[in-house]
Amino acid sequence: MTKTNITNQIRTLRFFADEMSQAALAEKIGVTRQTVMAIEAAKYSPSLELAFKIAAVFGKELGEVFEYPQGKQSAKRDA
Amino acid sequence: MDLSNRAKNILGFMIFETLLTAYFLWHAYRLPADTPLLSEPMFELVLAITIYSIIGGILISAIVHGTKKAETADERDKNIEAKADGYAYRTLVWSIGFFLVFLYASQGVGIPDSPYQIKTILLSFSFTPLRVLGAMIFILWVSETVKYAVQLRLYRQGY
Repeated sequence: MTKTNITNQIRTLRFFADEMSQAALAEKIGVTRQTVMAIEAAKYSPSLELAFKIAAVFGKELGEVFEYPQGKQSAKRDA
Repeated sequence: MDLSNRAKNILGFMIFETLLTAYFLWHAYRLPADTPLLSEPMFELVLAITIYSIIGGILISAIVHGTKKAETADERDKNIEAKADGYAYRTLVWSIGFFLVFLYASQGVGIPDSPYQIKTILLSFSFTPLRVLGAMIFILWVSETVKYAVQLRLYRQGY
């Protein structure tokens, strides 16, 4: 199983949120700690709804938490 | 090996169902091949399997989760299960297809009782209801095992 193309800043955001644990984040967004671990390690792409929930926990916009490099490249191409 | 509770649960059921299937097949094939499905020995065997499966299920849950409440499945668990179900379904369809060919071939190939009939070695294997039941149970076990194996692989390698 390859990693997803979507990268994220969850580890950094957790650090700046008083070293929030993966378990605490998991509880806030209603998933298991294993799922948070998989998302953080870019081994699982969350659903749009879950991605919004994660962004909301840190008070950030979706794009500040998740990034899709390929999308960035095609946006540059279109410009 | 560091496994999550969900992975431990899957592994537990995979081993338990393998043992249960082996127990069933071992006892079913020791019965005379023409034993009717609605008979006392079959009733006893099915009853034993039912009781063991209930006890086994409770024991596995108790061992894996202890006194804690089992985690509810989140979207990743459901996605993994759906993917594993897909593999299990394909295995089931192929296995049943293969079994049907085997069943048909066991009657010989060609026109019966004519020089055009090609007898196969499978003719010596008679498919009684008991043997068909055994084969179906085996196919279900294969399909379930594929499901569990895919789930474990996805949990370990990430999905």
